[in-house]
Amino acid sequence: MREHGLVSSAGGLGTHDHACWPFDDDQSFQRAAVEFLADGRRLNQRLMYVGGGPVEKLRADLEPLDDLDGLIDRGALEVLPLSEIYPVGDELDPNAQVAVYDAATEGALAQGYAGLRVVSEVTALVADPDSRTAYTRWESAADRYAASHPVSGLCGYDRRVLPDEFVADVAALHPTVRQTGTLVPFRLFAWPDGLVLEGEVDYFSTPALERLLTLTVVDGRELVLDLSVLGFIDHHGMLALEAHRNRLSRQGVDLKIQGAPGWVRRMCDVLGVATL
Amino acid sequence: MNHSAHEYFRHEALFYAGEEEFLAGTVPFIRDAVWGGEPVLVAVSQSRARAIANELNGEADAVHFVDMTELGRNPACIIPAWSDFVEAHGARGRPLRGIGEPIWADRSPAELVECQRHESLLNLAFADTPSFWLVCPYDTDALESAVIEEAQRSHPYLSMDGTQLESASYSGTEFAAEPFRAPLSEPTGNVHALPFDADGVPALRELVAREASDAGIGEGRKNDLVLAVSELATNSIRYGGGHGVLRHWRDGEMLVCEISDHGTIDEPLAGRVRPDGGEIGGFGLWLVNQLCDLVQIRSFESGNVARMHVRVE
Repeated sequence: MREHGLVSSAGGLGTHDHACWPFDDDQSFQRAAVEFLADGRRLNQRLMYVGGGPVEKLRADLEPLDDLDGLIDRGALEVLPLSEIYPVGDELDPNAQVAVYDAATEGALAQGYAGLRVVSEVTALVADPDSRTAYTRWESAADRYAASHPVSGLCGYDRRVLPDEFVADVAALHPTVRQTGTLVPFRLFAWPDGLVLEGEVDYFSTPALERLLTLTVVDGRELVLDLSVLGFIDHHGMLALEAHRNRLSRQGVDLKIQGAPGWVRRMCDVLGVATL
Repeated sequence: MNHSAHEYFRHEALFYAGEEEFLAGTVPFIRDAVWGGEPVLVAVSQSRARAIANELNGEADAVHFVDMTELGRNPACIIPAWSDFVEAHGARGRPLRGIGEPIWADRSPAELVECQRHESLLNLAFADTPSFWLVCPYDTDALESAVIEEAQRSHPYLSMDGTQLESASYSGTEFAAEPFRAPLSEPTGNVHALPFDADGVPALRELVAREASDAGIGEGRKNDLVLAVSELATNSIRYGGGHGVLRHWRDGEMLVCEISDHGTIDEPLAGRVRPDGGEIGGFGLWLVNQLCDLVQIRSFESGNVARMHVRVE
């Protein structure tokens, strides 16, 4: 399984990992970006740094990276403004955006790299509240893509600019999240066969789970939700999963819940929730 | 014995001394049910069930047996089992019979009180169920006289030495419907208390998990207890004044977790009726009853207290 949970360092993340990095000061994000890209270099991934602001400023962020100029000159690292990658100002289409990264990944593989590693500081992209739902869907789609392709990502969100609830929601769609501030206590992330629910879901976090379930990307006729690394779920959370299963079922999608630990299965028996 | 057709819920205590009287009081009742085509469920200990089955010979095939020592470990789980039986077999007022012996000599004092509450609530739970005749055997040799006296208060009908009569001291369904305020004994030894509010529930779960592990409770039961505590703490926040206090301690073979708050329980059968989503906190109490080895729920004037017991393996 991919790295998952709350972390305090951006180091040590692998080929398919996808980390959310909320930050309150530029230096802490810069440090994480450099650490994350340095690991990608060791893994022979092609590196990409996308962010708001002029390219010179973005490039300056990466100063601490060894041989920065050489990396850029060789094409091993691209530093790009958000508008080069994202439709800044227009609504983001998750599928179109996946296609952009798919092309970049295929390009990296064709040039002999082991994959692609992207740091994106996307605060400017989601400054408009109306853009956030589509963007949240994209994070889910991106996570799904990364689960089965050699792409790893570090997504920066400036908490000084963005509301806590949005950052908490979008963070919960990443398998790895920086331990910081207000977060929801679970993560709903992708693995090659479907979704994994990790962390803790109780009455207080069930509304977030309901919200995020509706924003996760479903394609095909079957979706597997894995609960094998779930730390806690109460009956509110379980009934929310059941309601989501019924909703998907009406759309012709079969949600299969697998890997539920014994105590979750016992709760389901007691609640009369269908077998998992 | 007159086992004529019954058109109401007949809740009857059978007083017997020794196995011979037990069988004399139960086997003809069961045989009548079998011959009359009435479904019958016998919820007694396995040894009692074997004795009954021996007497019945081949007729035992038509009788449903359930091990009361398993089913009734937490007495709050017994009414749901009878409800399931009524639902499965009692369509269109079809006459039903049952034998349920929830009280035996080595019940702990805490279990005994819960069994007595259960007996009282049966009158309420099946008040509107027609044609259900439930006989509850009480072993007068083994049980204290106070237990027999309480059985006379909780059963409208009594049966002894082959005769049946109405109980003069039956306390009625109104009594059962009142808030349950039987006193709880103050725990002894190391008692730890932790107040909580909405932000504190994850910390409660962590604490209970740690205590359960330290007590040597296995992974599965530990998670059951964590879930039970979390559910009731959530109820405290939603319906019990927004906060509460967790206390926990060891009581012999049990790890006990207690949640108290400022709520009230208006529905006397809360936690004993399979929830369908409409009841306030209904799922929480239902789950807790099903997950723990013993649950003591009180609705005092000062608020609700719920003690959850899980056996230390």
